[in-house]
Amino acid sequence: MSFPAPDATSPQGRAFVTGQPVISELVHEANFALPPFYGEHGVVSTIDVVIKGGEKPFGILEIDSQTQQGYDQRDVDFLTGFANIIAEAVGTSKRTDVLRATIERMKGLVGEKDDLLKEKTRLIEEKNILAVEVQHRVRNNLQLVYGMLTKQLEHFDASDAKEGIRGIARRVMTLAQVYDHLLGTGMSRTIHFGEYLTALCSGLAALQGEEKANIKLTCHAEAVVLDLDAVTALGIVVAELVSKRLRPCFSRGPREPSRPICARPTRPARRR
Amino acid sequence: MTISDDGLGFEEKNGGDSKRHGLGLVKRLAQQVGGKVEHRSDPGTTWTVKFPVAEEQELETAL
Repeated sequence: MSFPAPDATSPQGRAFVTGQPVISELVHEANFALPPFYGEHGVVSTIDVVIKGGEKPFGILEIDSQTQQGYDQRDVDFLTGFANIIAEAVGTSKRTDVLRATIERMKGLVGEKDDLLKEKTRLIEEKNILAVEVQHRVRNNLQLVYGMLTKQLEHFDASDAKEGIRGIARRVMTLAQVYDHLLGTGMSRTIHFGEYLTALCSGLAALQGEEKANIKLTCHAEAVVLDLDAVTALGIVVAELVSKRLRPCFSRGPREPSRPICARPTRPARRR
Repeated sequence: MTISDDGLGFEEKNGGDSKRHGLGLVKRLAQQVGGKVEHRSDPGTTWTVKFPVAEEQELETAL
């Protein structure tokens, strides 16, 4: 529904345009272009006040009378009081609508956030499962290679060839054990070096077999967490040095150990 | 990190062939982590591998 633009040619229009109350005794107002319903209902006396809105008036509150009333300021104040109540109700209604819309929007955002959090949790769990799966596969494959190499040892008589195969098996086992000691879940790159070292020395002792069973290998390791790359390199260093130290011991025949072979971490140097 | 034994000792210049004993690999790997390898015979052999540990790694150790 559209209304004509307000102008000052009617009591309502004048009040709307000026923002001021208008009291009109229509029988004396020749300048007004009155709406038809005035004549239809015999309206002869009116009073109009503005219903205030935000930037512009919300509307006009009018009293029409079929008799001359002689409206004055008290009537204006009375009617303005009602107009103000209506204006407040309209404002409250608008604010309520805005608040309601905001609440609905916030509910939507909260729901969206919950969905995103659920998706994030699902992706993290999926990533952790995949990471563990990859680690298991790498470790299992390395252990498979290690098993094949140690099995192959049975078919070699020459000590040099046997030692060569054993050396390769040792390095494969060293790498495989790295994956048993990755800390946490997911694509962790840190390892408890002390625990890894202890397990590695135990594996090295087993790898030497019964022929060197009378050599005692001990490991004293402090708790220190290192990066995967550093542990991989240091693990092979330990494996090489420990296994090669076994050979000179036997160059003059088996004997009871007086001092154990040991891998002992010293105080780590600080990075400057 | 120290690795020691009470064997016959190890003389690099006297039969201690670096290639045969895998020492080239050991030294390269130690250098890879910013470390170095030292050894002494008295009469067993003691190998010392010195390598730096980052401060955050030491913090993790303390936790």
